[in-house]
Amino acid sequence: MSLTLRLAFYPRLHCVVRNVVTSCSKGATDTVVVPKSSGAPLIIQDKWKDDKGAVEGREAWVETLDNSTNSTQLGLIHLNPRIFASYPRLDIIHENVVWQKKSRMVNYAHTKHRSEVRGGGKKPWPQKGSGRSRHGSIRSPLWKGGGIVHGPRAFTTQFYMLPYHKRVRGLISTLSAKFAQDDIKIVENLDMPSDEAGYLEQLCEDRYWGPSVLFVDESDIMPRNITLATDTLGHMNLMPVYGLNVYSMLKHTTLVLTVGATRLMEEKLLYNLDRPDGRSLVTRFRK
Amino acid sequence: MSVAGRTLFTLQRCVCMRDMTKVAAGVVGVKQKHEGLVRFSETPKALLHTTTSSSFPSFGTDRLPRAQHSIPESYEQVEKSTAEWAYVERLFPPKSIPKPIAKPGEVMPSGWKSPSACPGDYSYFVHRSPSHLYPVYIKHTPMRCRYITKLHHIEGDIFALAEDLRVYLMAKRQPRLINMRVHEPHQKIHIKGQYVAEIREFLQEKGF
Repeated sequence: MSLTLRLAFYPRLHCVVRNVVTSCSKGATDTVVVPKSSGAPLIIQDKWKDDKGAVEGREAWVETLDNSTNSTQLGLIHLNPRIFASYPRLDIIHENVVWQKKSRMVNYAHTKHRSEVRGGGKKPWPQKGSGRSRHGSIRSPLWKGGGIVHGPRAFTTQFYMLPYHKRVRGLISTLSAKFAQDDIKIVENLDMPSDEAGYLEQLCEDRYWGPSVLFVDESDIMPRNITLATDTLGHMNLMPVYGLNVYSMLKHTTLVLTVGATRLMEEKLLYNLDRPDGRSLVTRFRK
Repeated sequence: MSVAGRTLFTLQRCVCMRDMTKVAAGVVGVKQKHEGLVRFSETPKALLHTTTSSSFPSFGTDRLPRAQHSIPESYEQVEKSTAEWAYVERLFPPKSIPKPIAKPGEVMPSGWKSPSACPGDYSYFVHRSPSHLYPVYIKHTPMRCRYITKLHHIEGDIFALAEDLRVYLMAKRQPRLINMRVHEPHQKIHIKGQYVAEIREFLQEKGF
C-alpha cells in the first residue's frame, strides 16, 4: 500500500479555489470593519495586476501596539495570495535553513600532515641491507602515529550560495506557512506609548503572541520606545525588511509585520517571481 | 618612420599634453580662457615644447599643428535636470513580461491562446508560467530512454486533475499503461513518457 501524504485534509494548507469570480479580494468591500471610533473603516487593499491564479487573497487584521486605544484592531489588510497563500515547499524551507546555518559554519577539526607531526626527519634505517622495507621517515602516512594525508584541516569554511530562486521560494513558503498557522500579525506601525520592556511583554502575553516575537519594519531606524523595550529582551527582536530570512522567521514564534513592511516585501518578492532576467542570477554562482 | 623616430614623436606629444593640462588648469597663470581648440599662434611660446637638448633629432614634427584642448566655460557650471530622465527610463528592460492584450480564449496567429478559464469552473486550476505559456515540461537526459512529462502550477484538487488527465490521455493515445505520479508536496504531476503535446491540448480545451 502506498503512503500518500494527504495534505488536502489540513484546511490551512489546502489552496482554496474561488467558487465565484466576483468574490475576488480586489473589489470586495462587503466585509467592512467598523472600528468603535467614528470615521471611515481602514481597509488596505492593493490591486495586483498579474492575478493569474485561482487562490483566494488572504485578509488580516491591522492591529496597533498602543493598548490605550478603544480597540487594538484598526482595520483590515488584503494580502497577496502568491506570497501569503502559496503551497509551502517544505524541502526548500529546509534547504534554506541548512544553507543559513552552514554559511557561517567553520569546521575546526584538524589533523597533522606528515610534515607537522613531531619527529620523522631522519631516515629510520639505511635503504638497503637491513631486510626491512624501505622508509624515509617514521611519520609517513604508512606508519602508525604518522601524518594524515587527506584529513580535515582547521578553519574549513562551509560557505556556499543557495540558488537565487530557492532563496526567494524559501521566504515565500515560510511566510505562507506562518500565515496559515496564524503566526503573522500585521500592525500599523511600531509606535508604542511606553518604552518599558514590561509593557511589551504584557502586551504579547495578553494577545497570545508566542514566546518569541520578531518585529519587522520597512527601515532599519526604528521608533525609540520599541527599541528601548526590546533592548533587554532576547526573545523579542527588531528587524528591517532587508534582513528577513527563513531561519529567523522559524526561530521566532510570532512574526509581527508593519503595513509598510508587508507591502515592500510583497513588491520585492513578486518582482523576483516574475523577472525575465532570472537566468543571469543563476549563472553567477555556477562552478 | 623608424622606431626611434616614432618614440620621439610620442615623447614630444606627451610633454606637449602635460603643458596643455597646465594651460587648462590655469596653473601657469595664463588668464585667457580658450574655447575649444587653441590656435598655434595664440599659445605663449614659453609653453610650447622646445627640445632644449640637442640629443633628439627633429623630423619636422615641431611645425605640425597640435590640437590643444581646454575645458569650455559652459561645462564648468553643473545643472541638475530631470527632464531628460524619460529618455533613460524607456531604455530599461521591463520588470516582468507584459500580459498580452487579448480577449479570453482568443487565438493569436502564432498559435498562442489566451487563457479563458474562470477559477470556479473546475475543482482545480493550472495557471500560466511567468512568460504566459503552458507549464508543461519534459525531463530527459540525452542517451537515456527515460522521459518524464511534468505539469506545474497546479492549484486546487490535484488528484481530480490527475484523474481527468489520465482519462484524456488513455482516450487519446491508448497506451497499455499510464504511469503517473501526483507529487503532492510539490503540487506537480509527473507522467512517464512524452505527453507534452497531449497535455497542452488538454489545457487548451479546458481553457487554462
